[in-house]
Amino acid sequence: MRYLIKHETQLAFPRPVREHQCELRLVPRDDAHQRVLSASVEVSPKTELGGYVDCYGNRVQTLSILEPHDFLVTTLHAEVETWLTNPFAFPALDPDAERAWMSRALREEPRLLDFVLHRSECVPELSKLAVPLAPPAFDPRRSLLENVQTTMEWAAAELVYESGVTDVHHPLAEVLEKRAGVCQDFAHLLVCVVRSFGFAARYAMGFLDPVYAARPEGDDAGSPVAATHAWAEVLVPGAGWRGFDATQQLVVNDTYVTVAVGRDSRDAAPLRGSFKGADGGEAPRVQVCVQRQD
Amino acid sequence: MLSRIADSLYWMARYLERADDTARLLESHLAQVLEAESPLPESAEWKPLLAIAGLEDAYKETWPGEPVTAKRVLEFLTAGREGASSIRGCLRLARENARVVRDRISGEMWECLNELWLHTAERLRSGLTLERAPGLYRTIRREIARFQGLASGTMTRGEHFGFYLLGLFTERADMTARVLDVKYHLLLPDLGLVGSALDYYQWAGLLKTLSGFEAFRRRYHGGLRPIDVAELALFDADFPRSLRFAVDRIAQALASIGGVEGGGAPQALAALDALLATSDPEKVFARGLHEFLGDFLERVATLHAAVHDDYFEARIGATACAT
Amino acid sequence: MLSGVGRTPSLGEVAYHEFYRDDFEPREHYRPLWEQIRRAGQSLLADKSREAELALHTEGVTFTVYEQAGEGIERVWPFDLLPRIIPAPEWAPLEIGLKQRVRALNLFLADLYGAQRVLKDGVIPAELVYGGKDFRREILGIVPPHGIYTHISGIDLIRDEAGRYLVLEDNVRTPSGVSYMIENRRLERRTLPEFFSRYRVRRVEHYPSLLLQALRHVSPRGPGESTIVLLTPGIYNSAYYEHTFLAREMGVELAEGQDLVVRNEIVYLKTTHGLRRVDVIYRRIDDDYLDPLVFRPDSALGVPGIVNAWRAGHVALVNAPGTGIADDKAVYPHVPDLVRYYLHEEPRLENVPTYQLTNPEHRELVLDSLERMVVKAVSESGGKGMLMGPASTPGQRADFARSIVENPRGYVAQPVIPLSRHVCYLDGELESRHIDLRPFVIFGEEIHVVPGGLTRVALRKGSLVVNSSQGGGSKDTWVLADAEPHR
Repeated sequence: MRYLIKHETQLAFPRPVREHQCELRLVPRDDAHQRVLSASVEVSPKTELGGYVDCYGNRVQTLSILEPHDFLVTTLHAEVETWLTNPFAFPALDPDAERAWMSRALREEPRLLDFVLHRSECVPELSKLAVPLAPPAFDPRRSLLENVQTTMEWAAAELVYESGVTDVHHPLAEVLEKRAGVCQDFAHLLVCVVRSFGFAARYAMGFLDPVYAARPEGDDAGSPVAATHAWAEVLVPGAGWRGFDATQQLVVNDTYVTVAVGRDSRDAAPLRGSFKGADGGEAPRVQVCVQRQD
Repeated sequence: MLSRIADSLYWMARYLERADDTARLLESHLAQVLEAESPLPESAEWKPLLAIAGLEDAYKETWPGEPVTAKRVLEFLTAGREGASSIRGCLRLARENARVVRDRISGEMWECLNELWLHTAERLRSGLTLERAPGLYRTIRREIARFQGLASGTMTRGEHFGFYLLGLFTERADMTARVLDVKYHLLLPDLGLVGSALDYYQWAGLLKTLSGFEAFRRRYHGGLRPIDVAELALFDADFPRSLRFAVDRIAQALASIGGVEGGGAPQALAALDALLATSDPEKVFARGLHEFLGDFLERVATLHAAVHDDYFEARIGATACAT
Repeated sequence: MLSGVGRTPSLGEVAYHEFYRDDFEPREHYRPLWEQIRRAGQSLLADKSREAELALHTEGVTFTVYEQAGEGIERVWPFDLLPRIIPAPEWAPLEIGLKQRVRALNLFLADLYGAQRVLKDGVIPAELVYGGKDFRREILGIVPPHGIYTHISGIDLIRDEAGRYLVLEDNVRTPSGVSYMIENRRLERRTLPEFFSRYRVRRVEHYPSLLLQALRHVSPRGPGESTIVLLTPGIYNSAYYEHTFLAREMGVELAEGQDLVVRNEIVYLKTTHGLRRVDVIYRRIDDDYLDPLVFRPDSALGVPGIVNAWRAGHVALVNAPGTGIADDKAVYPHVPDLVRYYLHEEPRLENVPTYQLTNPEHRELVLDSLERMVVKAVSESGGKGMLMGPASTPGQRADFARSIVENPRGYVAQPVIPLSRHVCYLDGELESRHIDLRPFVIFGEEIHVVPGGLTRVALRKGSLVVNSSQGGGSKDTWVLADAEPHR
């Protein structure tokens, strides 16, 4: 698939702020399943952009606006090609061989340990939470992929999708207490369980083909997708990273465009900033427009 | 030098000078009131001091509907806990700023200020009485004089000392103008009193507040003519508490600091200087002293704002200068 | 180990004595000093002791102690008059060992934040590194100027019962204490110049110039063009005195986070004459607080964007971010292996035996004998998060046992080593107290070890805790230039 993406974020401040430093994670990744054909990021007020690739392979833009300003608008234009039409098309390993594959992967690439070991408020050790919870136990007779699919079904039964009940980087314990959350929370929950299996899982943020985007009830079907999406990625032995969208009960294919990944949502936050001046502005206004190029 | 350090040096000097000026004012006012033959009502006697510090509203908030009494005004201006309008508040803020610049000022300066703060806070803890107040003011004046002497005697000349002087004389210009304004405007609303015995003591009190009584007597032999007092307090370039003297020192301080590209301080200073340069005592009285001083205070405030923008807010818009 | 009859000898009794031989005669290198004291009489010590204390007071040589919440209390640095003397032949191998260790730790850090060979080869378990609080994956792939991570290291040495020097811990984040090393020497020279007449003592006061050289060396625009600042958390930091001391001695600006600002990945100092480019930042702020954009987002002490300026190669950060993993107490037991791995040499300095509590066997052994162990939280310093077994209460031991079981990666344990003792002049008496030694190692164009270091003294009788925040004092430390003292 080919997608044309426009992503705009608007921040407004009640009073001018100064010494504003930002990191943007807006430009999609280049990886085994997608390629960025073109991408440009514009910022207003106008300023020079720096950039680097972070330790998870995400493309980061940096900027600094020292003079007083009361708004910040970032706009991404990108064209991306994806080709993972069938995420199941890989030589499946014997369940016994999967552990060995994983150990070898960790030995050869110790960085993967982050996606096994990391715990935080967003992705806590589930067994230590006060909330009574019975995630499916790992079934050693079945493949990891099957185990993850079972877990995804469980997660979907555990949480109700309800926009607005949680804010960004919300502690998972509270999400589970309310039994409701947004895509970010579904992704975190799935990541937690897979890590408890001893396999690698990471959080992914990106865009979704508008044709498949689920809309909250009452949403006008004609409007563009409201925001970015989030899902979990699991390192599947024999296959590599595969995405699992617990919100929609889907295995990620070429209708998804990944922007950033990380240990949890904080690592993959599209906008990270620090400034001097009074806070208290409204939440950023985000507009995403994804168009499939047939 | 660092903007933050310059800012702290400037304010350390300002707050200390303010504490000193306030102590002088209270001390001389107390003496004047005690010595008066036919005292005014207590409230009329003390209200003007609130006006000098700009605290009339704050007083009303603290003691709504209550009359202005000597004890409360003294308490308010000496031991008030909020902000920078009481001696206690000024000393606390001066010390806090000194702490920031502790390794840029001499150890003796720091010790002097630190001890003064501890001593004053201790004395005020047990409450302030009218009888003991003059003693406290004398101590404070003496210690601040010692501090200022130590500053002249131990600080290396250069940018640091420039900001210290800039703060000191900006505050002195400001406070002297306020004292003159209130004393003249509020104590002598009735021009019929000019030349009376009361008038003599009022002007003498004013000169004493400015440590200028002896200087005045040596220079002027025609009695306490307001126009002569104004000449000394406003225009005398050699009298250390005159507006002219303060403005000259501000100019010297700014010259030693050096201007910044596109800065507003030189223009603000020129405006302040021009006000004095184009006037004389006759003109001032013809126009009205109050109006003149109002104008002066406004220009001091403009200068302060320009100094703040030029030096303390990092000039982020300015091109980064070469190292 | 126990002899069956009689009592167990106290730690003090088995500890090596630096000053006395077993027959209570002073050791050879202390004899000239001892004769002088004897000739002058003890009243001299009393006078000099008062004099020294007065000097420290008026000069404001202080450190800040935090007790509960609120403002810290400034205390005068506790100084003991009697110098510790290290003969030249004893020092020489230490210097070699310290350089070797610092070199290995740097190679380890460069590898860890680069190719990670050490993990792939299984020299150190990758889980240990990735589970460490102070491993900073955010800086993976960044190569600091000249590849140097630990420009300043403070390696704590102790001596066991046999007088053998052992490394107790490495400090490669923002080690402190060097100002006291220098103040101790100045004070000793001033109050007791006669002590120096019979010895040739190697100098330490040039430390700031060595440091300045090392800082200039790593300037991205070259040593000729280097604006250097010392970044302090501010007046409430316990080591603020040292920050002002070093800034003054080196003639560099002492800046707080709010004095610096980053624009387009270049760090600037906010001055009264505009923004001034900064090349080298000797930062005394912990990684966690250094850059809210990268590390703790709630930090108000740091400089947002500073890590990206460093990543872009526009500024040198000293020490580099991420060094904390090298002095993580769970990494410490592996340091001898790191020396062998990177340098293909045998380590010249040995470690104190250490139990890894992630190892179930070790854990069991430690939990069974907590009263004979020192338990340390892996990423704490300054004696915090520590259980001193023999001096602990059953309640404290139970608390630690629980914490260990809950988070075995978070702690290590060591058998209690009786630190060597030294005579101190305390309240008019000569008393023996336990001591350690923190030498300072500077890594610039080459590696320098300042002769000696800071000798810390556990002032409380019988105590093994030397940290100044917990009742520790210090002594001047003399490394002799010749093999023999002058007669």
